[in-house]
Amino acid sequence: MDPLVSVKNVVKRYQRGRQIVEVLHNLNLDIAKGDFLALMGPSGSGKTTLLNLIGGLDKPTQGEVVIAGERIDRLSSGRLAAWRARNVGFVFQFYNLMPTLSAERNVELPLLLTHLSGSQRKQNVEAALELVGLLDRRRHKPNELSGGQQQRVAIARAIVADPSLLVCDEPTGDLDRETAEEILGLLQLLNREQGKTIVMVTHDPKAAEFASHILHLDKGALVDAPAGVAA
Amino acid sequence: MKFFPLVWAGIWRKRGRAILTLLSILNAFLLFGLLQGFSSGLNGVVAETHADILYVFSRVSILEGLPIGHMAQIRTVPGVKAVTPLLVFTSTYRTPSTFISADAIDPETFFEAYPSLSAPPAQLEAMKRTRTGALMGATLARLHGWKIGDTVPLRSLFWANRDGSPTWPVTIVGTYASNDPNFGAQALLVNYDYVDQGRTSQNGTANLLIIRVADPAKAGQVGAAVDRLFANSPHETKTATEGQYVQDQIKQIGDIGMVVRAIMGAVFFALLLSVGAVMMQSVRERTPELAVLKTLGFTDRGVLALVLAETLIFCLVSGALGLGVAVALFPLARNLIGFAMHPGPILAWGLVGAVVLALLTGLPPAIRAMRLQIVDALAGR
Repeated sequence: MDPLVSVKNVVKRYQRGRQIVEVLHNLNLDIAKGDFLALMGPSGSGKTTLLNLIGGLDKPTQGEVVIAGERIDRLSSGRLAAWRARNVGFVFQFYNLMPTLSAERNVELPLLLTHLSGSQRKQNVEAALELVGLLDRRRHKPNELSGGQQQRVAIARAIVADPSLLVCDEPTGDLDRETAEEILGLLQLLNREQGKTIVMVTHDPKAAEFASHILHLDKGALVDAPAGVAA
Repeated sequence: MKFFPLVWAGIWRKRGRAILTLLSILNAFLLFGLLQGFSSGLNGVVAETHADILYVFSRVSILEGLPIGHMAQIRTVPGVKAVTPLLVFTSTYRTPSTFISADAIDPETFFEAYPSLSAPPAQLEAMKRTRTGALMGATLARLHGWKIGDTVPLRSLFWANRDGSPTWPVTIVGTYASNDPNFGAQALLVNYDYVDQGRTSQNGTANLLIIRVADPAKAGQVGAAVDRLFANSPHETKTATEGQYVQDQIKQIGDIGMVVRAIMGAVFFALLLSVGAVMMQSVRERTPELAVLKTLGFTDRGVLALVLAETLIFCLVSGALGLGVAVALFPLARNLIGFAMHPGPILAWGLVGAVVLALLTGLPPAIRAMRLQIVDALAGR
């Protein structure tokens, strides 16, 4: 079966002042459709850089990033934005909700880029909020919600346009253990029940246990699991 | 329309700052509306003058009286239909700051020479019979609660009475009506004879001799003929159409249009800097939020349009409020300055100004937002 995500010979270099830093070195990775992959590794190992490439937020210096058969590294900025809107849902460590908008308006944001009518958008927003268990808090603003609730709203925003791929950057990094497990359980549910392919960056081995696969990055390359960590 | 809640929320992100900025824009457009209204009102005054009315005044100065004896000679000029004297009798009433726009006129000839004003025949007869009689405008009557039969003590700014005091008691005998936008219902007409015979200097003179010509097309010829009549006399005249006369009066104040443009230029320049700084600050604060919008699939141009829409809506709403307040104040201003201010082109120009302000202040932050790199912005770089 063709993988949903295929990263081929990817090199990513950044210019930091006068220095050019190579963050990813000739990296190859395939992620099957319906997989729940946890990317682990120390700070500066290139986890978030790889996630940004998979999510179409950045482009590789060399190599290919193919998602569902499409070379996204070749897309123009405008086409890449449209591709992200259709195909990827993003969940961030610090939720990144719009502070001035209510939960339902936040969740509606990706749908503003579609041709759905107002009533269809409302229907989809309510369905997404119901799925994350926050329909009754839909009119609340982010500062009126707990961290866990804000992350649920962020997940509802990530899935409302029904993307096939969810990209999560430390989604539980700002949450206590109990809330983190609730969020990870929700991601697991989305993976198992709705077939979402999830790529999650995490530092937390317990969080990684919710994934079906774990990969380790170190110094810009995939490595075998360190001793004592199941892969 | 579906993006409106997002744009609106962006505008009110910092409520206090938004309100203060709105007030500063509103204030500038209020000033613009009032100054432009004043300027266009002055133009309206000139436009609404009568082509068949000529004003004759002293070549030296309008303050220098012309002998009313000139009228007999003026009547002999072909094309003159009527002629009447007018003596400026500006006064105060009760307090030194309560001014009454009063003119001393001859009731026998005034309404014939100046037909835009009229009075009921019985009241006009009463004016002719009563030496101290006066006809009031309806606005003036309302303002001071005057009614027919009242005796009003006026204090003349220019003329002392024979007893040495500036006080001139007049008796209200009626109300005049006016269909002349430049001669509203806020004036008082008193008997020329009463003032002329009562004053201690310049007797037998008037500030203006008003001529009504039979054919407006020949007004220029009539005026020239009148001036020729008194050339090289001790009381040379200068005759102008009512429009020219009003224009000359306005010019004496200064180039109103240039003054208005200079004031507004300074105000808008200051506004440009302050609103521009606020918009730039607002976008800088929202860098992560704008990056998230791009992450979700908003294009670079989409983000540019969102920021521009914010400034456009904000400036248009603030500007429209300012212009609205200005137009609402126009009727009050009319009572204050004596002529109508016209809102017509002001609203259109004001809204164009708001759009220009929005583009000039919104474009730099919008371009900055457009160029935002998602990865750098999310990483706080």
